[in-house]
Amino acid sequence: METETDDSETSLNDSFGNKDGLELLEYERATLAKTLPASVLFVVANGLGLERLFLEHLILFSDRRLLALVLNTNEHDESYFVSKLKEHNVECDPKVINSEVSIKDRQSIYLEGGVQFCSSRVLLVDLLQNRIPTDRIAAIFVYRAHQTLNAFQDSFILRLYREKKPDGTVKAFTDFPNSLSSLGQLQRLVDRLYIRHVELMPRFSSIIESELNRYQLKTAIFSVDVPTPLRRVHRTIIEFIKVCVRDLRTCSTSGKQTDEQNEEMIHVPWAATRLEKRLHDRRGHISEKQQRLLNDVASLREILQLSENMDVATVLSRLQVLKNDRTVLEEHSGWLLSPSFNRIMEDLLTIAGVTNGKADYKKFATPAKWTVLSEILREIKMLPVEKKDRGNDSPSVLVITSSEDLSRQVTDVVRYGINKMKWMTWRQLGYKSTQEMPEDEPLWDPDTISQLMRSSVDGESKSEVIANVQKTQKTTARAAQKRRKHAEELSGFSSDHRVQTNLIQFGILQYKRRKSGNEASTSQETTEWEVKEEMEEIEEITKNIGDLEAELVVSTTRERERYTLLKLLETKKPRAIVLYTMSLQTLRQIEIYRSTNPNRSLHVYWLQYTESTEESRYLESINRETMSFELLIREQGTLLISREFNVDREDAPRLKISTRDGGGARRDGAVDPRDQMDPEEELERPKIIVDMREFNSELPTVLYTKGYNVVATTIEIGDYILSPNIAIERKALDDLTQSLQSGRVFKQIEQMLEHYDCTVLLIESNRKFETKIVNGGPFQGELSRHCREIRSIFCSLIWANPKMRCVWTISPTNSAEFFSELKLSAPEPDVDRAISLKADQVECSSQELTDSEASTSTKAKKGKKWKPNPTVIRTLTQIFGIKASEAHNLLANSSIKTLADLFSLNITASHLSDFIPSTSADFIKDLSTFNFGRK
Amino acid sequence: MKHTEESLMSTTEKSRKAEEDDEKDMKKRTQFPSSSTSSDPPVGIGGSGALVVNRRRQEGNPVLKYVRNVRYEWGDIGPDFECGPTFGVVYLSFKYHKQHPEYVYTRINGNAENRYRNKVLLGYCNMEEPRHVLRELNMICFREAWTFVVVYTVEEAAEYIELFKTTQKKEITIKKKAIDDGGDSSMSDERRRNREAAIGFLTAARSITKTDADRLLFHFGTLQAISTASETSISACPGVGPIKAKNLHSFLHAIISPNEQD
Repeated sequence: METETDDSETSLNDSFGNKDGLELLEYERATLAKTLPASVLFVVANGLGLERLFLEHLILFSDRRLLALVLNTNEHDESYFVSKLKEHNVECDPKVINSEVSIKDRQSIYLEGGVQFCSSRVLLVDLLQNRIPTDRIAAIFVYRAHQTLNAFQDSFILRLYREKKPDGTVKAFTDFPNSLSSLGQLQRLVDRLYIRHVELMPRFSSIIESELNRYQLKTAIFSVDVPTPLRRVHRTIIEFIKVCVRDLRTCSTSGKQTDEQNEEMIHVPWAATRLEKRLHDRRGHISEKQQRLLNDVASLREILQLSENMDVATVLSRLQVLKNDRTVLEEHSGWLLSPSFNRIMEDLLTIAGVTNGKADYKKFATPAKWTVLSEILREIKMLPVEKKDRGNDSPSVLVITSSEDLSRQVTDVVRYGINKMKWMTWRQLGYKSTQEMPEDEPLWDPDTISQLMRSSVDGESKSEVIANVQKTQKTTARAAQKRRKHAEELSGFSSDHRVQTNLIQFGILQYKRRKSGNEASTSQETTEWEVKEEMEEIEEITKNIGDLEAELVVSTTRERERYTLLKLLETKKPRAIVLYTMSLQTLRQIEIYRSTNPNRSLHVYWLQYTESTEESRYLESINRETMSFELLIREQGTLLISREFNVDREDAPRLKISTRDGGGARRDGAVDPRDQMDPEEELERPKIIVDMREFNSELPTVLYTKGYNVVATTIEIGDYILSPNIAIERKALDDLTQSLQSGRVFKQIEQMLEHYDCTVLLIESNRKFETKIVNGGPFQGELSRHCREIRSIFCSLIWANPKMRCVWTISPTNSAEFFSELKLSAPEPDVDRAISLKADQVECSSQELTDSEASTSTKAKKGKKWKPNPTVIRTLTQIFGIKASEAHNLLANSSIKTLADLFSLNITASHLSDFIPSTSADFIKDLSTFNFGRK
Repeated sequence: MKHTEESLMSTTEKSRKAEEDDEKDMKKRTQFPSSSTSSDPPVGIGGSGALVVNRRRQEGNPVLKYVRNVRYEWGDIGPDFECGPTFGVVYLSFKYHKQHPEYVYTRINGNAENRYRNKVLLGYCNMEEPRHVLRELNMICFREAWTFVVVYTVEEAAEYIELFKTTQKKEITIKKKAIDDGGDSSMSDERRRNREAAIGFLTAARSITKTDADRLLFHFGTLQAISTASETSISACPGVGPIKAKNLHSFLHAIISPNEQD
């Protein structure tokens, strides 16, 4: 262990010797040294630099001899980390693997090593089919590990990895401690990720506290008073939200969970409660009242945010729009018509200077934050800039807000001045004004003000980065494949052993040159993201920020997008930051930036309303995170960690081994011919063909655990193929409801019946909802008009398909048991045949039927009864409103031989009217000649 | 719940009485199904017939209290409910199956019950842990090719029986999603209807998407032009490759009629 620690420290020094950019903080270095050899789940406080920790791991494992796979990253994550790895000039380029990369390229890329961002589905298939050299996988990183609680693919991947490499390394990262603080969630996550250690990194840890306090932020908190009428408005809106949540709870719960109500009611105005999240997960089943209340709560929260951040005139316009909208009036739960709402309108009108219908512009109160913002900007202009700080970059100022609308308004306030902006916002109320438009009084030089639009900056460069990486790795993979092939050819000549060695070395040298070329081009593209700043000449005299024409950037940061602020801080290197709205994550990121750049001076100005809902939200978020970490620390002490991971697979049941009797069931005495099994076949595990899209559910994992070999492939007819005769279509309750409404399930069952003898519709998870937060839906006993319609369509499905079998199971485990019984005496399925069956096929089936018809007619007078192609019948019945019997008659007896004949000139409406209704015939003829090209 | 149990008990007693009938009565009951079969209305008039309920087994069943929207009459039939000339339903509660495990086999394997094209076992789940009963009934229905439907309330069971009856003659009316016309409010109703039908027709071909259908209609103008176009000219349409052109051409020109001579 000590040797490994020394090696890791050596690696740390080596990897960071190239550049000074990413200096490790003390606690980060200590954590990395402690956890590097182990499989760890990192739970980091929100905003406390999880990206840095993850990036350090990626840099350490960027080695051609190591293969590190990264799971559960989205496009934002991939573009950010790929850019960062290229900035640090790591030894081996990162790679992005998804379904667009072909199989041969993937196999070659895996052998290249390094860090590879993989999509879960592609990685799962490659692991199941042994395309990845598992012994060379050094580590698997799981980003956003808290999402694994609801997903099954990543857990299945880790299970396969543990099965093939028991001592492999798995590292999981998350900075959402609130997701794990429920009872038992940490244990579930540890079990699901197959790891042994949990590393908690809260903000209040003494190591982190002392490290961040070494370079304390120069923070100035500006307290802004809330006007009394506005405070009343906030309180009333909060009351509305609480009433809606209480109503939602009343009509959802059956009187249980009293303790949870009081606990969660504190942060109801800002965050969705657990009940709302569960209702959102089952939004296919919720009742109309629940849906209405959910919409109202979301709308009220938005209005609360708006009233906190924006000016009164904007809030007033928004509420008037809501009041005048008929759709909103019909669909809301009644708060717009209450006396409290009228009181809100009166208070807002008072602040806006409107009294009894008369508008007075002079009484319009200026938003308090605007005044404080102008004072702050005036103070920033007076900040001195030392000579050593000036350097290559011109100074800049950041203003951080929480929404796009607020960013636009702040930009306008700074550009036009308070008086003009006040006039412009007041005018949108619609009242006439005798006041002329005031002149511009900019708070900052207008030429240097810019607003960073997120969509315009991030959208294009993100996809470009990933596309360039894939293009590069494709070229590299092809070249490596040729080189490896050439090396294999040379290995046949034993007498030329030395020549072979020289050639291989020559190939490596050539490879390095091309790689450096690619790096240069990619780094240039990354640099394009950065806005070029003018360089100032170094002068001897100290100057103020105002004299240096500093740039002022207004930006929006959201909780979801964590990389915008990080990029801004690194590219702009601001001297001063104005936090117009407070966010816990934003403050943490600024603290980390300050600690990692001790040479730069930084002033932070923080605008906050005193004793307001904004302050309460901030304090509440700190409190929640602290409580979450305390719960996690307590649960960490009682975690059950197994010595060996449970990746055992059961043996699939066989007919010869089975000793179970049928419980007195009467069965046929005839012996099934398929009971006779070859001895060789017993050695292999039975296999089940599973459609690719089914890996989002839990059933393939359970089947794999039960001992079946899961063959993952794309099949178009059926979801699970158990034998050449058995096809199963699995539907969860929500999926079944949607399929019945859209008619897709009719087509699926029809095609399965056409190609397989046994067609099963597996209705899964049909257990009565235990928490009773929803009524149950169409297959749980709910009696409503909507559910009756769904059941009516289901009855039509049963009428139309007498040979369809329905299987109802409670859980994926129950389904797997059913599969075991079916597989007991069934032969193995044919993978090639399952793949070759295609949906919506017209040609082959018709030709086969025609051939059989012709051959039969030559042999006997009465041949096989002709059947029309079901796709053609379905098309005619659905599009043109023809009945099935009429369509059958049309195809069998008329002169029409192909679908194209329906629209030909030789066939007239009167010909068609002999077999189908005249309205349909006329419609077909009108449709065939209607000109769609002209508008 | 007690009322349900009493009904089930009475059903049990009647079932036992039925088994104790002598040979002479069995001959009589053999004649009844045949006469019932002959007295059944023809297929063409089946829609106007009433729901037929098995008197011997289902008298006193609480499900009948909730059958309101369709008219039903008593009859001597093999299954418990006859929702149509070719549709038979056997009703079974999970608790009853727990007490009498072999009862379901006599119903599933009975000759009278298997005369029908559609055979449904309507299972009423009235127990807390239905896992094992579900497993048994699933396997039974799978092996004997019966359709298994699970309900959780008596009202739901009654509604299914009603719907089996009312959807007999009903064509499958699938709710069509409105095709997005790109916000073109100037499109006339006739054009919109024709466009929906044309796009629906073209997307029935394999791998043809709505965007492809839009492009084809704009490029060729009419469905008649598309149906007479060759595979090469279809692939010349922008956005449509050779694979989609081949799929569409085979969709339009595959022989779908048995009359090869013409």
